Amino acid sequence: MDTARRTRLSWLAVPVVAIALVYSWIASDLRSFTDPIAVMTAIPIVIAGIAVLRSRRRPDVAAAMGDTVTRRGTWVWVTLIALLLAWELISYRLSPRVDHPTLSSIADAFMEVRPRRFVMFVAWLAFGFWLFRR
Amino acid sequence: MSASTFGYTVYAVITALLVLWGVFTWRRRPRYTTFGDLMTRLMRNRFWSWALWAGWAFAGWHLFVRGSYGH
Repeated sequence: MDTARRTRLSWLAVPVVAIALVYSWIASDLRSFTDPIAVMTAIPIVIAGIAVLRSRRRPDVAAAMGDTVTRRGTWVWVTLIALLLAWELISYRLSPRVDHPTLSSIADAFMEVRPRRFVMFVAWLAFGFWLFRR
Repeated sequence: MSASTFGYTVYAVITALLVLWGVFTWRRRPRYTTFGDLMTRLMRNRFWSWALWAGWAFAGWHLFVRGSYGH
């Protein structure tokens, strides 16, 4: 990527980040189980779905780049993620929740106040942006 | 040790291992698969790209729409 294009992209990132922060701040103040928070959460989900659909149109690029990635250590990632999901499932099936916390209950407790809910919403958006641009 | 402390400890240990492995692979890239490499590879597969989208969407919906904030 040439320098001019990189500069343009970095300048484009400023308003995108600003919009995402304002969007997250507004969303973080909306109560759960209401239509406004459902709409604010659904919009990025739909945009990400479109990004996944569009990514299917460049299989040649994907195939060309696919062989350059190493597979060494992948089993460690798979094992650790599987362990995390397994423990989540075990905790989910046990009760009471106060004795057997799940990732959801931990996140719920963390998001009791707006600033922390804002951080979580930004993190969710940022992870999605990072993931669906791949 | 209470059940809840044990539960939190297991989450903490797995998360710490994920972070440590993430740092290790990042420092040894491209010899080892980083988390980004793994996600890139999954996103190039039709099934896994939709599975990741569904997982991410479920996480957002579950945390923000179906959470307990404001109740």
